[in-house]
Amino acid sequence: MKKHALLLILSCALGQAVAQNVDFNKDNFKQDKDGFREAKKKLDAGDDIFAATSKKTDDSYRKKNYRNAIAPYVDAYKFNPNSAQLNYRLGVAYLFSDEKDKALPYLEKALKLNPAVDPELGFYLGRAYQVKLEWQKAVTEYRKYLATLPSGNHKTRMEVVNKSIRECLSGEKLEKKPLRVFFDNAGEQINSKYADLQPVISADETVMVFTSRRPADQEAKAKVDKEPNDDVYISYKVNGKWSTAKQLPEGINTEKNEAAMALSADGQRLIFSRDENGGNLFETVLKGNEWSKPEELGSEINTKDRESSAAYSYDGKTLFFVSDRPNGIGKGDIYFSTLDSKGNWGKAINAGPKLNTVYEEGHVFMMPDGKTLYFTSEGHSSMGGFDIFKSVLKNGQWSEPENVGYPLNTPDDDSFISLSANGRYGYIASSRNEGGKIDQDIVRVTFIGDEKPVILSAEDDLVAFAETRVAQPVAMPVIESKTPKTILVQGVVLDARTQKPLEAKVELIDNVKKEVIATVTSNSVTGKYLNALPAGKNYSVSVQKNDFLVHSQNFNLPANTAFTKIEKVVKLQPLDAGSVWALQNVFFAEGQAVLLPESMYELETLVEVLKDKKSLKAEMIGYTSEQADQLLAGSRAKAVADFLASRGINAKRLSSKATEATSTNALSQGLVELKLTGK
Amino acid sequence: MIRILLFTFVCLLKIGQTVAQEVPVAPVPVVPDSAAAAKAAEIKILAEKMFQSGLVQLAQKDYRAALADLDSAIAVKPDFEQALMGRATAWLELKEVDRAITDYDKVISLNSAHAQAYFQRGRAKVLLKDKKGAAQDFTQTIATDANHYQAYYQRGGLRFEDADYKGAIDDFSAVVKINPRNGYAYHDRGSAKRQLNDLEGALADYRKAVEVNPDIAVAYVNLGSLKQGKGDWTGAIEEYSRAIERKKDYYLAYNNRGRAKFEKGDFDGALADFTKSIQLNPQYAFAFNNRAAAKYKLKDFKGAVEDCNFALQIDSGYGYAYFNRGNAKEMLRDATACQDWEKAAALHVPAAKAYLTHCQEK
Repeated sequence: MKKHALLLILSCALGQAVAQNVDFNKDNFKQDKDGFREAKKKLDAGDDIFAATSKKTDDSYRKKNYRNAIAPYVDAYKFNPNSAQLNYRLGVAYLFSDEKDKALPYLEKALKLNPAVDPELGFYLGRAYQVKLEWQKAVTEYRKYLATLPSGNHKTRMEVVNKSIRECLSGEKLEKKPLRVFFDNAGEQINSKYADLQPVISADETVMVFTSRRPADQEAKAKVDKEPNDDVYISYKVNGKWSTAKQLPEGINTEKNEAAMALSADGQRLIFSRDENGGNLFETVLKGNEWSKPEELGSEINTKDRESSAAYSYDGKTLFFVSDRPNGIGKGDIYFSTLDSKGNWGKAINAGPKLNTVYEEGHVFMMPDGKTLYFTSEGHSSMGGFDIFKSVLKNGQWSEPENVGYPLNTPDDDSFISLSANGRYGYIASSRNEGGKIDQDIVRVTFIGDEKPVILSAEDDLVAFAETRVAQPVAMPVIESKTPKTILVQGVVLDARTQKPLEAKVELIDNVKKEVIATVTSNSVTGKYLNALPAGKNYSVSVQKNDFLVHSQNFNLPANTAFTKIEKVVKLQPLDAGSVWALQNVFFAEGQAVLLPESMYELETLVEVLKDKKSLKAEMIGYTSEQADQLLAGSRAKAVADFLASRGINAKRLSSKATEATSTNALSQGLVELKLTGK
Repeated sequence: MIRILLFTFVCLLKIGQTVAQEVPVAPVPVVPDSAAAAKAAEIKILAEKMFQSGLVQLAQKDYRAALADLDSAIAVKPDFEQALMGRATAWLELKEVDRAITDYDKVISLNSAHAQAYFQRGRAKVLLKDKKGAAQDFTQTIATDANHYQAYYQRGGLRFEDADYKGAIDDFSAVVKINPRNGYAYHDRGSAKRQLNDLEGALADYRKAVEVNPDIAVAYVNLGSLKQGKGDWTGAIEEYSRAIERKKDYYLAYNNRGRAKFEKGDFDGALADFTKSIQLNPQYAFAFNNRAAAKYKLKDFKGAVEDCNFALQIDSGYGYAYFNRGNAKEMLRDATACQDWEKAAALHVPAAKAYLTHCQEK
């Protein structure tokens, strides 16, 4: 009796499911044979793509091809929306596209129409819930799916599902404490209706180089059958607005795919990738208005496997990059290489298991504080696909990578970020699009920090005798502005006589170590120079050009200094009689005429100039205020002259004196200047 | 205040024995001559008649008529202390505090042991903000009548206002020693202890206050605030609710309960309480500012800005409202947020300074 009842229930349930599911069978559409024929054609076209794509296990292949099944499937769906299989397949196709959030209703409907439509339905349903941030539903579906896997040869599949469950748990946690950011589309000067990807910006956010799949010209547009190549584009921010993006010239862009990878802080050195030899990295340098002929990075960097991302360190002496080369930890790993004394990239070293996982690491970006690395990874505590992580180098060790958080990271692939030196702004490529664009756009991210607490007021009546009110204590926590500990030194170099821009060498010097830590060149057309570097050191900037006096300036910012921008117009004086060199990086012991070691770099530069220009004589002038000790100023000037003499400069060419600072040179008090007195 | 004085006076008159104790009647001069005695009796009867009529007018709140009767009584009998006390009351009701004080002075000149005259004069001086003179009168009241707990209470209040919390505690303690059922004295002593950071002592006194007089709404507010200070937001909400039960229009209690709900994360509940507080007192800037805070948490940034605007219309020097408006404007991407933080910083809201870092950036 019981058996019969069970059978009845089962057949009813099954009957109900079968009754709801309408297969693409001509018998089901006898009343509309023409419509069926057309719809079936579309269905078959979609099925061909789906079947071919399903055979591949490579996710990037699937992402590229499943999406092509969407259009014919959507047409077929209009005719028959009640096919369990079509719902399932359309849902899966959406899940591999940039419109993942459309997948869920189809998969839910497939489940309702026929839970047994495909053994993978549970997995993809879980994935669709994950995409929609419905974490617990996703976990439930994943677990149900796990239970369907027969024990034995499903270890890899089980690991995939378990990873997805971990992603959901991570995502649930991250979503509860969202990152406070604003997203703004970078605008129509940057973005096109095609995919615009991988933005890299200069430290001051005035230059952006990015990758675009837009057709370069009308001819290319006409080739409708051929998908346009990825090319590299550039835009400049003028008066707060991005200029219309322009394609970088031939030589950089070719018939192959090129993609922007890294831009130096000053926006004058660019690394891009080209799909040659599996994907190699090239570098080009801006000279005036012209980008140099790209040079392939050396064999330590490029291999026959794919190199897919790069980032300069603040001093340009270390390159972080991602490579698929063998013997790594995962598929794509982060490596770094340092410049050797000959200016070649040295041996590439795997960044190690703290950063690299058995999964794929995607892109790298290094902050100019010299220690904070942003990178993308499918591993660590990803909430799905690639997520952006942050790790800080301390005492030679990378910190535990920290997921930068939702909504910058999503269950989808979040695979690129480039940040301004102040850490306030970032650029990503994203499908967070308005207006129905499917492909990615470049989006500006504004980080507004942790939520600022609001302040409430309350008070108490203290005595019944009279109105004696006192305010209750106010909680006033301060959310500190977490700016990177970096300094942005920027400005223009001009010829003091003509006021025209000069191409000059701008050296940033660690005064304590007495070594040049970074060198940039001001642009010959704009005179612009820029460098971003960590705070906490006694720096000087030395601007040098042949036949001009060296300009130097000192910056000593404590280690805990928040982001600081220093802007300086440098007017280089020609090496002529009467020219004055303010020795701003020559330091004395307090109240004494004893040169401090930090002065040596500038003094040695001075020696070189005087050795080179033997016809010049130099007078050291020690400046003092009216009240100050004239004797000390004179002694300090003489100490500099004596040093120069000790380093081989003929004493007859040298003289020294003290003088009182006037209103026009009041800033020189306590300093020594060098005045060229004749040739 | 004047109504209280009148009420006190009338009560004292009605309770004959009490009046006899607290307001001693000046002795009638002995006239040996029988004619003179008859005349004196006649004057006494006439004065008493006018006095009684004046009392009736006082009770009927016809102060001008009362003054006319009492003037007549005093004219007939210039040393009629009760009539002088009654007239002082009428002057107070008519806000003629100086004239009331003159009558109390007269009573005291007639009877330097008239405790109630000192007490009432003290209270009149309170109205004139003459705290020092008032305190002296209350002290004199106590010197004359050591059990005059009301004088202790009033002097305790003045000491509290002068931040002499120890002195206030002594006076309130004297009150409860004389009258252990005086809930207000327990309450106010609790507040004095609170000001001296004796929070446990304050808690005990507030509890005692509501034990002896469960209707003291303010005591529940202060109990709530002490619980809130310990992080017991749930307990605080319960106490504020008790205050509201006893005083339905207690806008301060609604505001405080709203804040406690806010701290518990019940932003909708907080919003409702702040709204009620505003309804009860549309000039209460705190409630507008706090409702703005609740709206901020509920992501109604536009509403938050509007409420801060209201708060600032009421009090243009309200730094927190500038601060909160800046926070809300930031979320609306309104660049004038920086101006609000600057203003808040200038109004001594130190937290605002930290937010100015990015204001120069585009």
